[in-house]
Formats: sequence, C-alpha cells, structure tokens
Amino acid sequence: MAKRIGVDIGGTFTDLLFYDDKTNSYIVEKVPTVPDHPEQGCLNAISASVPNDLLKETEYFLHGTTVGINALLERKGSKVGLLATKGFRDVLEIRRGDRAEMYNLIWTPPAPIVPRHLRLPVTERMLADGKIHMELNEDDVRQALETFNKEGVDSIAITYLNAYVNPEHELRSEAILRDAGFTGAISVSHQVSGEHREYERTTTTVVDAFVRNRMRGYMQALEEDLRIQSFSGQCLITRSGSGCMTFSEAEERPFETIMSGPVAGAEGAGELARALKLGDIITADVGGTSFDTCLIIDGRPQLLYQGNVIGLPLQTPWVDVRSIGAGGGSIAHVDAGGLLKVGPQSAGSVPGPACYSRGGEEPTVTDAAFFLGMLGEGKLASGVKLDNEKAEKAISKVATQLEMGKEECARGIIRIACASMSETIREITIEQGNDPRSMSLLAFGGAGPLLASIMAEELDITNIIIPPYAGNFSAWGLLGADLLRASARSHIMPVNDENLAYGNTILNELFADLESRESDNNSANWRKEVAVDMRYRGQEHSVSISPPIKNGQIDSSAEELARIFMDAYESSFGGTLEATTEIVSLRATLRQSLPARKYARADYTESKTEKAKSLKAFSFHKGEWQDFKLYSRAVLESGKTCEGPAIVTEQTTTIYIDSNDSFSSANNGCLLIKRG
Amino acid sequence: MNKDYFTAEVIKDALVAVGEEMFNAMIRTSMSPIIYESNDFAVGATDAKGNLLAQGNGVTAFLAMLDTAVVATLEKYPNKGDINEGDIFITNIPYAGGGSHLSDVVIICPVFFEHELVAFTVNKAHWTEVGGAEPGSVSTRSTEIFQEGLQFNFLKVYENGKINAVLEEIIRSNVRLPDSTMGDMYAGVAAAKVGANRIIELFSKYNRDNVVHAMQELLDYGERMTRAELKKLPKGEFYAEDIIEDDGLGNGPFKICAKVVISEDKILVDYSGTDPQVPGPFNCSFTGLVTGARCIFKAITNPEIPANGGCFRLLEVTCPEGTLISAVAPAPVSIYYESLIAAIDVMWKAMAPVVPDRLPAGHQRSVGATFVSGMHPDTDKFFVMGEPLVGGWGASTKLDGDNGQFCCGNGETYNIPIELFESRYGLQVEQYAFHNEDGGAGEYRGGKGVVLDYRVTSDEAYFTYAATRTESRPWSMDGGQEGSNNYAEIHRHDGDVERHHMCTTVAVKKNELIRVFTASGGGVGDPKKRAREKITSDIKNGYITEEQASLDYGYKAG
Repeated sequence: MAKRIGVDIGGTFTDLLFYDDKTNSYIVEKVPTVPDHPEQGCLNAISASVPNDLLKETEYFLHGTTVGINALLERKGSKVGLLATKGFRDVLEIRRGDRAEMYNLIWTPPAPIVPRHLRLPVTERMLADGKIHMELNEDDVRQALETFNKEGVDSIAITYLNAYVNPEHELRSEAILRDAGFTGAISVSHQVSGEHREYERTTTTVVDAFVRNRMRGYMQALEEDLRIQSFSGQCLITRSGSGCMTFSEAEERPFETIMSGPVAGAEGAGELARALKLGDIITADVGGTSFDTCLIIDGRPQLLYQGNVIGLPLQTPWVDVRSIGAGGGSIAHVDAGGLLKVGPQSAGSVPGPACYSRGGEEPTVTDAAFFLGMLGEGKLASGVKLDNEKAEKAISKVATQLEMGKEECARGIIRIACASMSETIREITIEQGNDPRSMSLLAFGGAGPLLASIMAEELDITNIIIPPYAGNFSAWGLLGADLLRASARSHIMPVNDENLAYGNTILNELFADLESRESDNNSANWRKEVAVDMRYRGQEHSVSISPPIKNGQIDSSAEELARIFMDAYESSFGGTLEATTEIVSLRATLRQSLPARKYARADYTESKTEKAKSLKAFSFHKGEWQDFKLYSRAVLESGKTCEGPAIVTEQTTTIYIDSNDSFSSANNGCLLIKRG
Repeated sequence: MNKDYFTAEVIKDALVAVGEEMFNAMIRTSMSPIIYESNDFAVGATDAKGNLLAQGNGVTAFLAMLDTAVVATLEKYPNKGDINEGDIFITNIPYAGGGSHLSDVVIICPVFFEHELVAFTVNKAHWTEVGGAEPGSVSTRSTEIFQEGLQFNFLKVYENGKINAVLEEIIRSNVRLPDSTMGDMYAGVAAAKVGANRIIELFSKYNRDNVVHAMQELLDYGERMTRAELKKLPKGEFYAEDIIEDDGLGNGPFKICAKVVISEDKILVDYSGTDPQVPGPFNCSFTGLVTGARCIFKAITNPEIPANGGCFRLLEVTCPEGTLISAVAPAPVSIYYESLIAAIDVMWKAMAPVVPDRLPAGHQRSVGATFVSGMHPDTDKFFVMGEPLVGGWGASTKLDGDNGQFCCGNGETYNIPIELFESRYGLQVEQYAFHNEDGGAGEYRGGKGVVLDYRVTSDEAYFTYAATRTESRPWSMDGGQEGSNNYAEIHRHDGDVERHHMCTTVAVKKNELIRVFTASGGGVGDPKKRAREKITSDIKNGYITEEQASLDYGYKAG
C-alpha cells in the first residue's frame, strides 16, 4: 500500500482524492477548474486539502488532464514540419475524402495541422513488403531542414509510406536532421505507430509533434511545483487507452495521453467491477459540462485501437468512452421549431447555474433539479446555499416561451437531458448487441447520482450502483490505474504455423522495445498481454482477439488461432465466411499494478447525529410531488434496506432515489439502488 | 400544451434512434465489403402510410428511396389482407418507388402491433451481384435493363414468416456469387427486423395512441423546422442548365435543366426541358431525381434537421416522363448515379447565387469511379480494384473551396489507403497529390482536384472509367474562373499518351501508367480582387503556380 493523490481536471471542476494507507482513509476536494492554467487548479486542490507532511510521504501523484486535447482544440502547439514520401505530401490534407456532414454542402474538414509549404517531399520509396524501391535522397532531407529552419519550425514529423514495415529511411532521415544540427523535437511515424494506413499514421505522428512541447512544458511545470511543495514520489498520467504512464514516458509519447480526462472514471469502474464482482457495468459520469458513458465488460472498459478527436484519427489504443454535451450546467433553450433543447452550451463554473447566485441567468439542469426538490435543501459542501427564487426566475424564461407552467418545464428539462444521456447509452449497448437490462448502472460525477434513477427507468435497468466518493469518482479511478505500455505492428499474412512463428518474432521485438522505453527498478513486475487483429482475406476491417499466451508468445496452433477468430467473428457479425483468415496486426502490452489499496466503506466527514428529515420533491415515477426522506450518506447503516423516495446527500453529490426504488448501503462502500 | 408533450419528445428521439440502430445492425450483420466498408446503403422507418420518420444513410444518393418504396408497396398491395404479419417485400425496379439501379435492392418490412399495421422498416443496399452481362452487375455499355441483372418487382421474399423458396432458387441460379447475394439479402432482412422489434417495443411501452401521436408530431416538427428555414429564403424563380457529356456509348452531349420556384409555403423544382432518355446506361429514374432535389432542399433549409417526411412536405418535384432523369422501362440505368449527381448539381447551380451562405460554386460533380482488373503478379489471382475518387469543391462567398473530397453523391465514403492498396492489387501508386491544372481562380479559389498515378505491375491490366465534367467544367460564380476537367490518361511504352473520358476494359501493359485527374472546383469573384497575401500564400504553398498568379490574378512579384 502507498499514499497517493489523484487529481482529475474536468471542464468545470478539478477533483482531488487523497488516499492514506496508514489510516486507510480518503481526503476529498473539489475546486473550480482554471481554464487558462489547469496546473494552478490542480495545485489549488492540493493546497486546500492535503497537509504538507502527508504530501511529503506520498508515493504517487496520478493525473488526468485535458491539456493535450485543449492544445488540439485551440490549435495552440508547435510549428510542425513534415517530411513525406515524394508524391504523397498531400495525404494529410486529402484525409480519407469523407464528408462528415453529408447534407451540409459548405461543411469544411478541419484544416491540416501542417500547412502545405511545410510538408516537404523526400525522394524515397519502400514497397508494401519492405523492399526498397527507391533509395533515400539525403539531400532532400537537408534541403527540407533549411526551409524548416527559415520558417522557425520547432518540431518535425517524419512519415514515409510503408515505413511501418521497413523503418530504415525514417531512421536515416532522423539521423541526418540531428547531424545537420536540428535540436527541436522529432516524431518518427514507425515509432509512434507500427500500424498501416498512411493517413492515420501520418496524423497521429503530426499530432504527437504538435502537442509534444506543450505537454512537456505542462508536465515539467506541474512536477516542479509539486517538488517545491515537497512531493518526492512518482508522477503518473492516464493514457487514452487505459492505464497510466510516467510523466517522463508521456513526454516522449504525448499522443497517448490525449484523452487522459474521461478515461479515469471508466478505469475506476473497471477496478470496482473486478474487485467487488459487480458484473457488467454501464458508467454514467455526469459532470458540469458533459456526460460520459462507457461499457465495462468482464471488469475492463471496452477498448478500441483507433481514437478520434475533433475529426482527427489517432492510431493508439482508446477506451471507448462516448461523450455528449449534457451535464448539470447544461443550459435549456427553445429551438426554431419550438422544441425544448438542453445543452450543449453549459454555464460552466462561471457563471454557473442560476441558483448558484453567481450571475447566471439561463436555466440549467441543476436549476430544474433544485426547483423540483431533487437536490434536497440545496446546501453545498463549499458553503453555497442554492437560491430557489433565482432558479424559478430562470426556468420561467423558457416556460413562457413554451406556454407552459414552470414546474412542467422543469420536469421537461430533466427528462430531455436524461433522454439524450439514455440515447448515448443505447449507442454503446443495444446498438452493439448488448442488453442494458442485464447490467448495472454505475452513476458518478457531480450530477450522475441525481439523474441515475430516471435514466435507469428509461433504459429498464434494475440495479444502480453509487460508488464511494461518487462526486469525485474519476479521481478515485486514477488512484488504482495500472502502469501500462503498449505497442503494435501491422504485418498482413495468412494464418499458418510458419507465419504464426513469425508473429511471435514480432511480439518478441515489440516487448523488447517496450521494456527499453524507460529503465525502471520493477521490470520483473511487468505482466505481458497480447492481442491479434485478424480478418478474412479481402476485408478491410479486422476483429481483435486475445489468444492464449505463454511468456508473451502466442501459445496455440494456427488452426486454434483461426478458430478463436472465427468464434469472435461469429459473435460480432452473426456468421462466418468460407475464406482464408489473415493476421493483420500484433499488439503487445506490458502491465504493472500499483500497490493494492483497500476499498473501505467511505468514511464521510458529516456529523452522524443528524435526525431524519423529509421534504417535498417531485417523483418522476409517480408523476407527482411526494415526501422524500432526507439522509446523509454517512449515517446510512450498512446492509439495511430502506425504501424510496429519498434524497441522500454526500460531500460532492446528491443521490435522488425515486418512490419505486429501494436502497441499501453495502459494506463495500457502494450504495445500491434497486428499482421496482 | 398537450399533457404528453415530453413523452412525445422521448418517443420521437427513440424513433430517430431506430434509424441509427438499424444502420449499425446492417454493418454488423453484413458480410459484404460494399456495405460494411463503403457504407453503400441506407436504412429507415416510415409510418403506416409511408411517411418517412427517420433515415440513416451511408451515402446521400438514397435520400428518396426508402419512403417511396413503401408508398409503391402500398399501391401494389392496396387491399386489406394483402399485407400480413410475417411478410417481407423486395424490390429493385428502377422506374418505381425505391428505384435506382438493379444492384441496389430494397427490403421492406411491415410492422404490426396487436395485429394492426403501424409502421414499416426499410433498407436499400448495394448487393455484390444481381446477375446480368458484367461481373459485379455494373455496366458502362448496356443498352437495355435486361443486360443489367435480375428485377424484383415488389415481391414477397417472406410470406407469413416463411422464405419464398421459388424466389430464392431463381436468385441462386442467376447470379455469379449466390452465397454472397443471399448473404446481402439476409443482412437487409435482419436489419429491418431489428428496427421492427424496436418499434414494437415502443408501442408496448408507451401505448399505441402515444406513439402514433409522436410519429405525427415528429413529421409536423420536421415541417415546422423546415418552414422556419423556408421563411428566410428569398422568394422567386431561379433557373440553371448544364450538360452531361456522354451516355457511355458515345452519344451526347445532353442537356439537363432545373427551374426552382420558391414561394411562401413550398419549393417547387421543375426539370422540364431536360433531354429525353438516352441509349446508354446513364439514365436515372424519377425516384433518383427526387433524391437529388431532396439533397439540395436539405442543404438550403437546415441540413442538421433529421431528415423526415415532414421536412419534404414543402418540396415538390416535377419532370415529364421519359427524360434522362425520369427514365422509363426498359432504359438501361447502370451508371444512373452520374446523372443523379448532375441533377443535384443543376438545382445547386440555380440556387447558389440566391443562398451563397449555404451553397458553394460547382464541384467535380462525378463519382469518377475507376476500375482496374488483372492478375496479381505475386499471387496470380484475379483482382478487381474499384474506387471512387476525390476532387475539388467550389469556393463560396467567404471561403476557398475544399481540396480533395468525395462528391455530393457520396458521404461516409473512404478512399483506400495506399499501404493497403498496393498489397492487394497489381498496381503501384506513384503519386496522390493536388495538381496544378488551370481552373478555379477567383477572389475565393476553387478547391484542388487530385492527380493519381497507377503503375501497372501485372503483365496486363484492364482499365474502366466513367465520369462527367470531362469537357464541361465545374461552374463558377460572380466572375470567378470555372474549375478544371475530370479525365484519365494512359501513358504507353512508346511515349503515346491517350486521353479517356469514358472507357471499358482498355488493356494496359506492365509498367505502363494510368493517370487520373479529378476536377478542381469553380472559383467565386474576380481573381483580380483576391487579397495579395492570399495569392502569396497560394504560391508559397504551391496551390497555384507563379505563372497562374500572373495570368489569372494579375499578380506581380516584389
């Protein structure tokens, strides 16, 4: 066990959770995010809650951040120069030619990160099988560098066709740039991604080059500040593809952390599901700005091998978290067809919902919930007392436009917000062939526990789980992240025993490369994992399978491997084909768990002597106002079942339990709600 | 306000989601790369009368082909008792509702709740094979429909839940790849059933009246949203005409024209004056034409409103029977999509000056479908490479045109990565880049077309190509320059360069080069007015040459 701090920076709030192994207790903190200086918000959270002597003894700082994605969103990164195979420098701009909004004839794709005059051709050519078709013209590289220097390029991406099969020309070009004195950052495509598809690999390499300096600057500044505050442990950051990596490794592979933010909650859900045997889970993470949902099957978040951020594909493992712009701060408005819409605009932390009395005047989901009594008395941990009159005034603006009563309008805001969240859950469940009714809904984030009961009714889900520290659960998830390193290489070959042996050679190389990425003392603790992308000959898309392995080598015959693929194919597509099976890519992962921690029953700080109170709130199940009992989560007796309707408050969130529901506090720290 | 206002809202969202769900089910259950990789299909649901409730599309070219198929089914089976639980219908008749070319087959599934017909789910997908003269059932040289494959005239492929064994046997005996073809059919049926089950669930959860009410509300909402947009459009009559160069058999050029009349409560598009149907396979049926008109209608009202029948209540399309874009039997229609795209483009051309914030100048206007077949040099197996090509889009009044995108008839269409391409086919790609053909100059510049070089590595390969804008050019606006042409070249060993606009299986020898150019888009505004720093930047980025800067833009260095 070890003391650790998790800090998760969201769009509205920066959440902190500190775990003390001695007392087996947690410290919880929530502060507003500082958009222009996210590291400041992070330090604010620490200094507000973690005493210096504890910080000194802390072994791990685990971080989830939106810095990388913001660099892309705002297009504030390095000036990148690109070296491309002659004849193909426009691949980055042509993309795959698809039009995301097909009826919108003035739709414009995102501008390429590197303008054409900084995408320079280099004479060279590798063939698909790795044979050199045309030698590298070294002068082209030197000449390109002259142009880059003149233009002030501080980061260079090298992406040649088929370099994932034979990287010789990319490596020589990198050496030439260094010999010629270039000192800036260099991203080389075959090191960023060993997978085929030139557009996707080029984009990933260019994104890496673009965010590298900014991410490095951010992480170095943050680490320095932490050291000043006497933290001497290890700094870790979550990966888009689950797990975490050290800051120094992330400085070398920053593109792996682009989705660092929303993944932490999904990771936590996976850890909880494994530890407490909760079965398959759907997460419902509702923050101030966005709703994130992810499917946890067999204790692991669903993983994709390609991500997508603002229209740019990234060839890197990617936890399949779906997001929409709907959260507690989402603003309700009336559209041109006279319909009530909620979000995606958010009141954020400034000015915040109208009832926060910080100058917000537009009605938000939080205003509607408070107006309907769902937030209980409206006393927040920060000392803010919610203002019912301000909520009412904001709601009446929209109600007047719709020619309906305020109460009906408030109900509509909640229902519409929940319906769009439920739709997103349908996308990752029903539309993927998974029945949500057989799963539990794990609700967290500031507003997740508030809306879970309504969402569950919408989706006909019976069991809802509210994890410990639900309002800061993403930070809780950070605390249990595994250290992870992953790499992949494409090599298309029919499945036979000879090729399988070659596949194992590739895996050996991949694992050797992963182990050499950063020296560490615990190399014996790494566990090896292998996945193989396979398909039928003639197809483009593949299915990823996990074969049996022994010490990082596939431990099955070619025939068995093909059988595993066909079973997976059948369960995805409902049938198999009479065609040759192929290996497309091999994927190697090293995994190492942090020291274990205990899932103690959450130790809440509220007074335990409160008397049971009740107040009127709207029951969506009954369609009428009812008496809701008020509880503090801290006083709930473990194992005892209570009947709804009830409102349970804790430091960072409020749990709304409708009249048809019963609930109990389990001794594993979770609150279990059962519908009907 | 109705008491069930929000229930209706929730049901409406769920109905729209049915479209999405069927879209994914189709991809999941399909075994054909054309469907799960090129997304050449559409799925949707209608109410019991055939009003479109929701549609999920991979390409734009199917926008009027689902609801019209249901309406035509209802016309063919008008009596009570004609349509029963467990029936599923199939059609690919080009000249009736749901029709495009024979390769695109529609599956129609009536949905019953407590023995009442309450809705239809429907999908249309490009099948691998429907028989006919050419492998793959697409022909650039057919002269009548009978050469293009099997026709299914709104038949019951399932009756009372049982497959029609006679029909199945006929299909199996008349196509080259019977298992693939039947696989395509099962995928369509599976997707339609997924949607049907979901609609039945809605009926049992929210009760019949609420759902029927929500369906009508959904259509009315579409109409209200569209009406609000229509109000903002200028009223009047707007006309444009254009040409299609060739019908595949060397005839042409042919005229295509559109008159758009915008009044307070509707948009009328009249295609009268378009040339009669042609001997070659470039004919498009009236259903295809309605799709084309709907595409532009959507673009100039609000493209973000989910497409439903309510939106299209405000659109009327007319065209006399028997023209190039309202062809009747037995006209060959295999390459119908090029004429459909021309029909989209001519309405676009009429409207662009009127709604310049929604419509740019003319684009490449062609799928530019390119096929090369031959024996793979490494595997000695026969290969067929077929791909649509990206080209330049037109400039608008505020922006330069987009470079290298698929045409308006495509959508979620993806090019083949070169790293996959070369291992699969007996071809090597030597360049895939923007070209510097003249065209598209303007205050706002047209987007760049591309040049693509295929070097043949098999002993011999066969090249097939079909495009328009091979002689005419993408149109410009406000004094901008027209775009450039689509065309192909074959560079022979003896130094000869052949130019092709339309060709079928031309032999090309090992190491000879096939070079395809796609058009650049049209420019907007006088090039002389283009901001100097933009011209400088264009030269620096190689989007224009120094010579073009001087000739087209009157630019002087220094």
